[in-house]
Amino acid sequence: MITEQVLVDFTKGKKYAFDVIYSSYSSGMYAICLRYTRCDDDAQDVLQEAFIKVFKNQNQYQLTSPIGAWIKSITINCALTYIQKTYKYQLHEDESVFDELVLEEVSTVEIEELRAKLMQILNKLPEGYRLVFNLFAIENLSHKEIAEYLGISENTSKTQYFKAKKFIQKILESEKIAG
Amino acid sequence: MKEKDEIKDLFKGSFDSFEVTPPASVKINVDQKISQIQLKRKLKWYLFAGISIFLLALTVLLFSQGENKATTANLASNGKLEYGDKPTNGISQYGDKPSKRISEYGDKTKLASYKGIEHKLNSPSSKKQTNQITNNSSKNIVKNINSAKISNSNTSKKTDQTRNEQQAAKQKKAKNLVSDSKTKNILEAENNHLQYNKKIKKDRNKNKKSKTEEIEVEKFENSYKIRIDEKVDAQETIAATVEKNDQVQNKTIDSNLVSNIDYLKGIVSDSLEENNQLIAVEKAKRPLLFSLKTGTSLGFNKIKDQSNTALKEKSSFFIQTEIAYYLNLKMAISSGFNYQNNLEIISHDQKIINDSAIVSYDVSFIYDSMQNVIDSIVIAIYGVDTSIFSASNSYNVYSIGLPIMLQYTFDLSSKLFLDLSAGAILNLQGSRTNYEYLNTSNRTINQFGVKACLRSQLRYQFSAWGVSLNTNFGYDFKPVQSYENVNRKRSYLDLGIGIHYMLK
Repeated sequence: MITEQVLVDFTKGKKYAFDVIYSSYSSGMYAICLRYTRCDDDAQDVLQEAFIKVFKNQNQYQLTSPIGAWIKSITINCALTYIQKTYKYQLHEDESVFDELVLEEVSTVEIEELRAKLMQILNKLPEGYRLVFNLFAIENLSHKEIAEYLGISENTSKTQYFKAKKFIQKILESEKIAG
Repeated sequence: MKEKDEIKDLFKGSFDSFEVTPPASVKINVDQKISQIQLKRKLKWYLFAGISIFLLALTVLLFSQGENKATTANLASNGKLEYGDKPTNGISQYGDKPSKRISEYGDKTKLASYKGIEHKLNSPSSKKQTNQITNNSSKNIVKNINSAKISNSNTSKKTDQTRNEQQAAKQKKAKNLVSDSKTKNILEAENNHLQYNKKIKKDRNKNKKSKTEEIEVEKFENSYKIRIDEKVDAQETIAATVEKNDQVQNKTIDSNLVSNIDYLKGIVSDSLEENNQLIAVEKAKRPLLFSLKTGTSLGFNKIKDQSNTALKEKSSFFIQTEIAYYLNLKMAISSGFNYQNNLEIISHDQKIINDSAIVSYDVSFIYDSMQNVIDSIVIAIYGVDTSIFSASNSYNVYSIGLPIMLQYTFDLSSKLFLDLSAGAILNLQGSRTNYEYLNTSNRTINQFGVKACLRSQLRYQFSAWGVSLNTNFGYDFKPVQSYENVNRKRSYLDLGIGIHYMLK
């Protein structure tokens, strides 16, 4: 349970407070890491890096702002940095990339299975599409923000999202998950 | 639009409360890294404290050595003051170690007042005095002291008991004599000092062009100092007078002696009753003020024509060690070491349109089952859905500075002082990224910086030790970081406390 006292102690650098925060937010942040990375190992690396940054920058946290949002922004930033360094992704302008992708059938749409299936779909997207889609559709960032995040133009962000959405839509329609 | 919303909602809904427990190995790794970070932080502090203490100790050591090597000037028997000569008649010698400072004077010595020289009267309580007793100033005293000191080698025929008794008696006698003579010395020196002041006034009235007009007498605790103004021509000799019972002997001081110094200190024998000869002059110690200060630092930034950009700093700490070297009683130059650590946050507000379909109103017709009769009309009015989003970057900026300050001291009372300083701080600077949300390719780190600084320091000296409250205000000509298209003006305010040691 994160109380105000825990947050105050966290900003003072007390380890127990960090442990409390880790136990509260590590699951949520790990899920985010999984969405951005290709495999569990990479997600664990990102999560580890993110929480080390959280500890290092504890004095920057402002008690008036929600800590969850602060940790989330650090985690996303770590994920983006990791992707840029490790995957060296490129933005795809050519839609032919989708032709290579094999669509799998989905029959049941139980929530867990749906989530797993959506995760699979996300993972099949090229890095650039996946990043833009994650940031726009799930994190609710605007294209302008995404452009600043990734160092691309606003139009490129829009195009990437459009193509990602088109690809996802194609899969979803074929498997009758949405619509 | 409908499709987009569906996909977005589908993913958002699925992943909104999505949580996966990470493996325990992640936490173990995080804990290991954190313990390393904590250790590094501690080490940094220890290292910093160690370097500061070392530098302070080194500085003290260097200056104290410099003091020990202060040139001794002697007044030769021919009436001229000279540096470094070994004493002959009427000349005192001061070694590095006080315990060896027993002067030998062939002639009788006495405190003299004189022009162009500072004379110092040591108090009876001063430990130095016992080491600076001259054997010629009081034959009995020196005889007693010497005999007391060397009695061990000269009393081989005596029994130990007899020898000890005699030694004790002699030491006691010597002590009494010294004590008596010291008391007399002080009274006589006070008298001489007053006479000297009168003489200076008299001389000023007589000859306004005289070099000695520049001399000022100032009182320091147990000694008197005569300051010679730097205007004194180095090529000339300066008249000095030695006074006894209203009889004045004229002496001259070698010009080289005073050409480079504005303080002279006369070290005068403890025994004054019989002598009237100026015995020695040495370069006076200029006071040194060692300071260690710490406190909080506040940075203020003004940005022009950038209403949506803000630059903020969190209050941080500073630590500085400095040495002020007094050029005279009031004016000093100071320098040292300064470390400062700031947290700088640049943020940019963005207006975000959350709904790209900005429609002022929308009309939908709902038909009944007959398909051709309008059952109802729904009018929807959309507002412009916008929000302000603030993205920010955070940097840890630090600077290691070399302050060069000119200080002026106001005496508010005998123990309370107000030090006002002005000068510049030359900085080596760096930055570490904590968190970058904005694209900051246009950020520049200035490795070298200059700050203008005004300081006020209210200092209370208990004795040699003192404490202070400090306020520093200044302008940063070259902040650690500059941003493209951001016209930044940075000023700062430091509030701190300090401890001080005054070395005279």
